[in-house]
Amino acid sequence: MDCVPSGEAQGEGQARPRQTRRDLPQFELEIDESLDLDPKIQEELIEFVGGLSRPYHEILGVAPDADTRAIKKAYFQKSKRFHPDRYFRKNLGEYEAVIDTCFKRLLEAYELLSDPATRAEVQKSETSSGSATGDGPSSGDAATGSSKTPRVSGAVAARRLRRRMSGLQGHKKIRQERKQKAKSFFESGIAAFRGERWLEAAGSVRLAIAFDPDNEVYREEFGKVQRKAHEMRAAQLQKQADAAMDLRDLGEAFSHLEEAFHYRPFDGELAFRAAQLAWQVVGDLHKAKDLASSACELEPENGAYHRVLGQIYKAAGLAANAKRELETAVRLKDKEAKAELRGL
Amino acid sequence: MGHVIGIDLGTTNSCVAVLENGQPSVIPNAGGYKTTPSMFAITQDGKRLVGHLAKRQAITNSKSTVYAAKRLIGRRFDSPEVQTAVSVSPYDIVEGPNEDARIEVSGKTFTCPEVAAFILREMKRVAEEYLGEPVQEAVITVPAYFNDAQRQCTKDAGKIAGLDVLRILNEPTAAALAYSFNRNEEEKIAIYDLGGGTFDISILEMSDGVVEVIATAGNTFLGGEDFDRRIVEHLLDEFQQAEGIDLRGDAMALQRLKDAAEKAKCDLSARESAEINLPFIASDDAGPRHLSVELSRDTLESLVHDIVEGTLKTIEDCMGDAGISPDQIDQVILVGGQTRTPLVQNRAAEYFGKRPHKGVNPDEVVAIGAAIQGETLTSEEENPLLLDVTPLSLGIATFGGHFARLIERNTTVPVCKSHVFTTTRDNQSAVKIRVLQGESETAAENDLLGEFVLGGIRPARKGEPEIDVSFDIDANGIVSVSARDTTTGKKQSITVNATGTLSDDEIQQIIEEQELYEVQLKE
Ligand SMILES: Nc1ncnc2c1ncn2[C@@H]1O[C@H](COP(=O)(O)OP(=O)(O)O)[C@@H](O)[C@H]1O
Ligand SMILES: [Mg+2]
Repeated sequence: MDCVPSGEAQGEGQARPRQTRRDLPQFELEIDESLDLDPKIQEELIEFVGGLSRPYHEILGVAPDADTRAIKKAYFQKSKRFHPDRYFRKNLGEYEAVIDTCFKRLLEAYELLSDPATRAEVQKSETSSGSATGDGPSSGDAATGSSKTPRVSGAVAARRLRRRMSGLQGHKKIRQERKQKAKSFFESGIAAFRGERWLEAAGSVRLAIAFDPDNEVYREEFGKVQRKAHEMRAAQLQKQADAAMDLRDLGEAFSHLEEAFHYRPFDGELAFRAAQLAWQVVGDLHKAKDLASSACELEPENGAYHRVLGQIYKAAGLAANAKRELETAVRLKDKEAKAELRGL
Repeated sequence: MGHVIGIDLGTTNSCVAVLENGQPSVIPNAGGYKTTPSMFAITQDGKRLVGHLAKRQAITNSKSTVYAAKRLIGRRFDSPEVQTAVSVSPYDIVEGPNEDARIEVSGKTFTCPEVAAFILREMKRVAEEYLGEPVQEAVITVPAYFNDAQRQCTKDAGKIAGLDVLRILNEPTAAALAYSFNRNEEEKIAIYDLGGGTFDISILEMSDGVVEVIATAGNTFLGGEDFDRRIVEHLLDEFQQAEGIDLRGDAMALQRLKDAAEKAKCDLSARESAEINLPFIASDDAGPRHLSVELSRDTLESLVHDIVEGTLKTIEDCMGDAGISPDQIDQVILVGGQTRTPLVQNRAAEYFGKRPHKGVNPDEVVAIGAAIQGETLTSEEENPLLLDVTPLSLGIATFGGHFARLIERNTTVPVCKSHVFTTTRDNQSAVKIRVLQGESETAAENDLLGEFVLGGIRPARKGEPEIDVSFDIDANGIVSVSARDTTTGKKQSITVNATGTLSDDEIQQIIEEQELYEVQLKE
């Protein structure tokens, strides 16, 4: 059910007369005094829409060699006449579509002529297609539109790119300054890292990245520093947990272990220890289940982990799940699992 | 005919303005304030409060007080933005039936457009009291970088509030209109808009009574709230280190910290250091604990530096799109309360190489610009013409998960473009058109606006049928798409109905419900 742009499949530049017809709908217009639109403007619109197949510079009403400034000026002047907002929510009859068409064509003319590259393309195709004399809306314009529009659209993309590049040149100096700042943040980050001030190091390197987001080295280093910082924090928490265990403050121990697992999310044993405490000390079966499941995911071949997960399910009254886990535990040769399974 | 009001529906504060005898003025609310907090609450005894009243009781009723709901509007519940909001908001955010985010207050679930409508209704009422006549028509502003869904939802909100929304206008563009009002210079300007929850940058050119947006960029999930959050995190860490108590689970303490953080941040715009005093913030066996910290401007700057740098990076991209270098900008205009922070002002000044313009009020210009646009659209006079752009590229998903761009970002609207597509299998009888908005080459990384199926394609070999898809973006930035099989002439079209947008029936239902409620209040 997918759909592919035929432009890609068949190559850009295919003639598409349909597109042209859409771009330039035909109107049969008469002056209608009942409309909410000055008859003088109606006349003007009839004339303008009739001339939309003329070369783009004629649509804008500028000389073929007009400069960018003149083109923009003309575009602004004509927009003030033909922009739909000028006739907002008025009773316009058929003229509503006319105004829409006029403005869109005007915009197209401006976009294409305001860049030298697309403009050259336009002028080439306008002179070669022979319909550039502007003899009314009827004959010849289909050929003009179909051979021209697709080729120009490639050029529009190129123009955008060029415009981007020229805009970016003005940024060079600023870029340089920011890179410099990034570098100094990075250096203080590395110093902090050497001084084993891990969190500070991570913070500095993050700042370096903010100033110079494209620097791969910083990103890589940030990963390293952050891992290290997490590693240290986890170790610290585990130590605190052990100390709490010694003092029989099991609740405290649990919260340390739980947080430590956050920093060592790949450590199945940590999850397992936390799960047991969550279940037996804290009595939070939800947390216990989540932690034990994580432990099983991380070490699927550990029978004891599955057994404890089974026991937690059992405590929560989820017999089917408990059975599944305990059977897995038995298969993995966990000794206590058999007795548990019998007790189900 | 009545007045058209301009409403700046902000993340943090909203503001309403009107043009009287050709002069724009901001309308103060009953309390005399020119801006109204974008907050909504339901009290214990079921009363609905909006604005300052809602804000005043936020600390004691944080779970039923909704703020910054604009961060959620038009987004999918599972989007990272909504998930972040879920984790930091004291009120409940739940998933709605259209995969949208909804807000649960006192056991009742509200859609985001409904919550926005409470605020809009309040602004409408403020205007009506001031003008002494009913108001029907409004121009409502949105961040320039809002996508189609967010715009449609805002329009829905207007409808629910009983407003005829003449136009959804981009906030920075509105600011530019206000700045250029009665000013006949030929100049290029940059609007830097940093509010409570969104950031926009727009580059415009004005001359001869035309205001043309050249390029725009932004981040709809970045603002003053993020500054506050950094300060709160800092305070939490400090407190934990000093007292060994983690306040993260304590909703009341968090709300107090958030308020204090914001206040300190604002103080630091005028002073070098601010004091934060929160007595009885916690207690344990040893008795009550107090938080008392001195926050310096330097500390604040170190906490938020990377956020500000992020905005500069966005500006750089936008300037690149515009093809303009910083020294070509004649005026820099700062909009939004968060631009009062000196670091923001200094970095913007450094980037553009000039001090920002001082003549506009950052809290009021957007509403004034909206009022001007309302007048421009409805009056017969020769008014400035606005040429705005679409902030995001628009296209469809193609075979292999790619994104085919049909309208590039920063294209002037209204615009209509069409392209011919074809099938990928022999005798394929239907194609699915998935309409996307965004900048990624990968379809899945862009926002899905909607999808529809064009069936009844004449059996043919793959690649033969021609399906003409045309995209239309109107002056509100709202998208509609149609597809036509050129051989059969069969046509399908949608006004893209994205996440969280409501059907007309739903809107009607909500309006009736709210009217019911209004009657109840008067009893
Ligand atoms: N004096 C100030 N200094 C720094 N930040 C401020 C100041 N005044 C307001 N703010 C911040 O500005 C933001 C609100 O800006 P506003 O323009 O009203 O936002 P929005 O348009 O999103 O509603 C808040 O985050 C607020 O804390
Ligand atoms: Mg704002």
